[in-house]
This record gives sequence, structure tokens and C-alpha cells, in this order.
Amino acid sequence: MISALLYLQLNSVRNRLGARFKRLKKPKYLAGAVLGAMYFIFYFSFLVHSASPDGSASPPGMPASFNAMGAENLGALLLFVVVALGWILPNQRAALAFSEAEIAFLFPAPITRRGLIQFKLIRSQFAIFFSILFLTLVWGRWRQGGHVWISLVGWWVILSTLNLHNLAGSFARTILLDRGLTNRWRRVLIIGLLVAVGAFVIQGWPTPPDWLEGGPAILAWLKEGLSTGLTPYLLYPFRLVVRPYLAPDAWSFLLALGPAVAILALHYYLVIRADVAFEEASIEYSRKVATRIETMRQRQGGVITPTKARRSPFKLKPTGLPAIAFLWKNLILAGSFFSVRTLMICGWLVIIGFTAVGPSQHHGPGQSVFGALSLLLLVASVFVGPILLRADFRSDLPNAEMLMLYPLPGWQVVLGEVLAPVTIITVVQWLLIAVAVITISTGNDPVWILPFKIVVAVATGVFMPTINLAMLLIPNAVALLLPSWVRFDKNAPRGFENFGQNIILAIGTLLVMLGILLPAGLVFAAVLVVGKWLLGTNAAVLLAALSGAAVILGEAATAIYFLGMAFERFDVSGEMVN
Amino acid sequence: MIDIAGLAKLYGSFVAVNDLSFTVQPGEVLGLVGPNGAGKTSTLRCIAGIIPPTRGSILINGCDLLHNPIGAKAQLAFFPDEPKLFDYLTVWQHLVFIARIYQVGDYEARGTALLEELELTEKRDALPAELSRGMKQKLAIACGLLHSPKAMYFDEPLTGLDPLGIRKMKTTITQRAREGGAIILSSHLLHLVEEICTHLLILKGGKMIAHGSMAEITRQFSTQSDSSLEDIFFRATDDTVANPTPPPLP
Repeated sequence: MISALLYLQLNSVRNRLGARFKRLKKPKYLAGAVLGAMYFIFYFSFLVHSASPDGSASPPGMPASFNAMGAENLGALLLFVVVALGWILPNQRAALAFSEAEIAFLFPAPITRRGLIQFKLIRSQFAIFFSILFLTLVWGRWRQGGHVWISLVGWWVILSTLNLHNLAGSFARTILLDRGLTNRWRRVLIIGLLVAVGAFVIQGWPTPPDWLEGGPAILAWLKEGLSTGLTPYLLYPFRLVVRPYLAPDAWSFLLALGPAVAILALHYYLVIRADVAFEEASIEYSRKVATRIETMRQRQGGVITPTKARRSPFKLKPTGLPAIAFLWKNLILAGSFFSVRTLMICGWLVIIGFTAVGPSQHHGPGQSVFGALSLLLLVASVFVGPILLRADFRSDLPNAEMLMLYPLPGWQVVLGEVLAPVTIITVVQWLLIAVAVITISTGNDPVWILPFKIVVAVATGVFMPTINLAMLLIPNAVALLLPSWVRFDKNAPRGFENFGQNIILAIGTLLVMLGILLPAGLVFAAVLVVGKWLLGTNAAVLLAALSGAAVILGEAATAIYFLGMAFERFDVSGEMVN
Repeated sequence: MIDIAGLAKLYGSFVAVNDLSFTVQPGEVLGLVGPNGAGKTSTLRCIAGIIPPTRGSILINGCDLLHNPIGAKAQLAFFPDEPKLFDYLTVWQHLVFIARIYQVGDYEARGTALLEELELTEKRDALPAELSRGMKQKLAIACGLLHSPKAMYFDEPLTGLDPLGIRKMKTTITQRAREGGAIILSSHLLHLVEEICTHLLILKGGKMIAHGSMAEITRQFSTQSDSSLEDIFFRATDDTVANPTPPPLP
């Protein structure tokens, strides 16, 4: 029977990998995969070669002051904490994680409970295998020539023991629940026992240092305490488990491996011999997982599918520019957080914060810091806003069939789709500009500075919506022109190719952004120079801002027109989602 | 009303729909039937303007869907088998949104009447997540009918409906046909097609096997006067020899 389960597991992995490799026949995935792989190779070779062995006796990953015994005690303590939390925190009955398909096929099949447990254990080994590779790489053990296998096997012992222990713990929890010991009482008993033993053990420890003395003093105290009195004996089973990983050479490793494997085998024996009914809880668990996945799939534009109806942001009339309907719809999608009421609350919070930071009558340095922070957020919002707010094509393209039915020219749909995030980001930015104007001050400003600040604020305020529009058109263009590069489904599998695609998209976005902003910047500079000479500084700034914004608006309008044509030709029957 | 000529749809080298021509007049209900993979859904999606056809012309009430898509789309409604709704809009918000898209000035009166007709009035402020499968279907229909389309396409309209929902759906379809709508209905439920369709188009492998009024099709393919549509369908798609009708259960 186990061979059939192994067949299932191996073929699932093979087919999944096969599907991923098959995708690489398409250049768009191949390019992403090559770039993604190059990035990872570069990153991990940096990890491997970044530091040479320091020659210290300290085991890998441990502070330099720790010798082998100190490291073992510290590792054992960490393992103990993990295990203790595993007994305190969980509150569910034993539930082995099976997929809904596995439950549908395996549970009614003539497979023993033990067979199912073995299947789960074998499957968990796949995850453990990749984990130990990663941990060995990150922990820098690779660079300690020849000892890689010690780290690999050491991590395997630790993670496999933990895995079995958690499973055994869940079985024990179920048995206790069946015998009437509630979760609350179990927690009280375990915490009480830990506190009692801890209080007894800690009495033998040296006096703790002042926390202000810093990390090294605390570590030294910990090191001494862990090797004092009963502590090393209480931690002994945990020390046995971590000892192979910390072994400095092959002989020590072999010596340490025996007891560690014995503990592992004991756990395996307990788990495999346990006759605990996990089926019902597993079905419930798999249903929850499936619901969670479905919820994630239904997430629209980074916004969780609402469970409560949201109020309309404004009354939508049945006649007028149809694009406004998309603004209205996507503002509802964006949620109540972006309502006028929320913005008013934000405004009040800004005012309260403003009065709290410094004296109300005079500008202090605190207020200027507040203003500088606003400017920083303003700049960040230009880049982060379009990433966070996805209430546009990135959320609506999975509904492309519906959008294609509407009797609208493509440009109206494109314009409508980007209007909501542009509006939201712009309003937030205007708020930030207002805060900056109010708060940034030296406390002794000359008379001319206030009108100048207002002019700069207005100019920035004019620029912002056009910049936001241009910035949001980039990801929306990608969604329309390269839909398979956009992750509409957050649960879609990731891989080298997706990672590489993201790098290419980031570079592309930067280049397009520069291409959009450069002409506007040149026009802004030219108008500013000429205008200053003819009209004075303030008028020139305003005029330059208007000119620059007009250039970006023109570019955006052209982009919207062409994207509209692309939308009209959009073939929903083609590959859209990864 | 619906005039299709030489319609073809290719996915790469695969021919999903091949040289399809037919018309549906006002008041007619055309049943589009065929085995799985016959090209029914591809046909419906092409003539609804969702996917571009590879060849052919599609006229909706005289408007060319390919050259004047806005004019043509304004006169049609497509009801997919799985209702497509916005998770975050309530029932009434769906109607408000659609009204703006289709510029329906009197949407409040029409929407209220539609909700009443489809028994959704009490769910006016509910989200799609709070609706049953049948209610979602009804909401999709309310959205599609709000702008009084002249041409309507139904793709498996009875999927997931309870007996009462099925009866209501049949009434809705036949009522729109009586009011002068041209309707295309794609379904595997041959008894439904037999019950409410005036015309039939049988597709197989993307090709038209038969097209005409129910009486014409019956004359063409039946050997007995009381042949059911099921018999006709199997004879037309040439499956009768391989799969004879099973004997009745004792």
C-alpha cells in the first residue's frame, strides 16, 4: 500500500515540475527563469563565499564567545522553547494535513491509519529536504569545507524529530481531550509545571546582569546559567538532538548521531503505534484550508472579498461618462477605508498629531520632523501606492469576459479602471502636502516664504494626479499586454520564472517611468527659467508645473488611447493567468 | 435580428468553429446543441463580442459587431453558465453600475420591476456571497435585461437551479421571446431545448450538422413521427449506432 502512496507523491512532484519545465518553452517564461536563476545563483554564491572560515572554535551560527558546550546548551534551550510552545499553543485535535482530493481518494480506500500516517511522514520528508538545504546554505556551513554533510544530516535529525514530536503531541492532545482534559486545563498544567521547574532551576543560576549592559553580558550570563546546576541535565534530551549538527568533526558526529537517531526512532515508534482518530479533524482541517485558498483566490486587487456591503462613495447617475462607473465601482472595492469619512478622520488625526508634537503657537523642530516625514511619505506614495492599490485591471482582468460585453470604447474602460487608485493616492498625497506646508518651518521664516510654500504645494498638487495616472498605467499596461506575467491569483505557483519576470518588470517600469517623466521635466525646467525671467518666481513655478503636468497628461492620454485599442483586441481565450 | 455569416474561430491550428451561418429573427428561440467540444460556447462568445472571431460577420439588429462593436453590444446580452458578478457590489449596486455603463436613464423603475419579477427585492442590499447559486443567476439576468436587449444568449441557463428556478428561467426566456427578443440558448438539456426552442442548430466538431425550425429538423432526421429530440440529436450526430437507447428499467 505504501508503494501506491509513494507513487502518488512522486508523480505529483514530477508532474508539477514537468508542467513548470513545459512552460519554459515559451520565451516569456524562459527569460524570467534564466534571470531568476541567475539572481539566486548570484545570491547564494555570495552567501557561500561572502565570509571565509573565521577559525574560531565556535560552532556555526553561534556567538563567537560560545564554545561547543555553550552552543549545545543554547541550541537545546531553543529547541526546548519550540517544543514547549508546541505543547502550550495548539488547541486542535490531531489533524493530519491532507488535501481534499487526498481525503476523497485515500480515506475511503482500504488503507490503514498507520499507512496514512506513514504517507504523511514520507511527504513531510520532501519539505524537510528542501529546508535542510536552505538552512545549511544560509547558516554558512557550506564554506566550512568538507562538513556540509554534517550540517545536512544534523538539520535533518533536528527537523525530523521536531516533526514527529509535533505529530505525537497532537495525538497526545487528542487523547487528553477524549479523556476530559480541556485545552485550558492542559495549558494551566503545563505552564504551571514549567514555572515550578523554572523557578527551582533558576535559583542556582548566577545573578542576571543589568539589561542595559547589552547582549554580550546577557549571553555570557545565559551561557553560565545553562551549564549550572540541574539545567544541563534537564536539557539533556534536547542536547542529544542538536549535538550531531554542532559536531566539529566526523568522529564526534558519528558518536553524537547514535543517541539522536534513537530519540528519533522512539518518536517514530510512538507516532506509528498511536491509534488516534485523526480522520474527522483532518477532514475539517482540509475543508478550512480549501476555504482559505478559495478566499485567497477570490481576493480582488489585494482587497479581501468583503463580507459586509459597503456604501456607495457617491451617487452614480445613470447618464454621463461611463468611465465614472468604474471609478465608483472600484472605490467600493477599495473599501470603506478610503471613504470621505475616513479621510476626515485622518485629517483630524493629523491635526491632533500636529498639536501634540510641538507647542501650538510656535513652530518647533518636532513639527518640522513631522513635515519631513510627510514629504518622505509623499515620495514613497508615488512608488508604493500603485503597488498597494490594485483596484484596477489587476483585479478586474479575471472578469475580462464581463468587461468585453460592455458597449464601451476601450479607452473608456482603461481610463475608468485606473481612476479609482489615482483618486485615492492623489487625495492622500494632497493631505500629506498640506501637512508638510503647515509643519515645515524654521520657526523664524521670512515673510516671502509662506506664499512660496503655498505655490510649491499647489504646483506639487497639480503634478501628483498626472504622475499617479502615468505610474498606474504602467502595471495596467503590463496586465493588458502581458497578462501571463501578472499574478491575478495569489495562490498561483511561484518559481524562478515568476521571480525573473518580476525583476524584468521592475526594470521595465523604471525605464518607462523615466521615459514619461523626462519630457515633462524638460518642459518644466524650460518654462521655469523663462517664466522666472518674465513673470517672477511664484508665477513661474505654477506655470511650469501646469506645463509639466500637461505633458504627462498628454502622454497618459496617448497611452490610454492605445491601451484601449489593446483592450478591444484582448483575446480572453488566450493565456491570461499563469 | 441576429445574422451570422461564415463565422470561424481557430485556436492556433485547432478549428473550434468552422464556417457557421444562421439567422435568428425576433421572437425566435434558437437551441444550440451539440456534443462536448462541438464549439457551442466558442460560438456564443464570438457572437457576444467576448472573443474575436477568426473569420465571418456578425450583425446584431443591423449593427456589425466587428466594425461597430459599441452599437451592437448595446443591443445584446450574454448570460454565461456561471454567473459573473462583482463580489463587492450589492444586488442594487450591480444594477446602478450597469445602468451607467448602458446609459439606462430610467433604471430605478426598471431595476425595481426586474428585482420584483425575479424575486430579488428582499436581497436588494445583499452581496453575491450572501446569495444562493440560483439567486446569483437571477441577478446576472437582471443585469443583462436592464437595458432591454434585442438579442440574448443563454449558455446552459438551468445549471444549478432548483425546480422553481428552472420554471422561472423558462418563463423569463419565453417571455422575452414573446416580447420580440431574438434568443440563442445553448444547452445539453435536450428536453429544455425541445420545450422552449422554436429553432434548432446542431453543431459537431465546430461544423453545423443541421439548422432549421424544430419541425424541419424533425422531418429531416426522424424515422417516426413521435421521435424525441434525443433520438434526433443522436441520429444527427451519428451516435445512434454506437450507443443505442438503453432499455427502460423494470
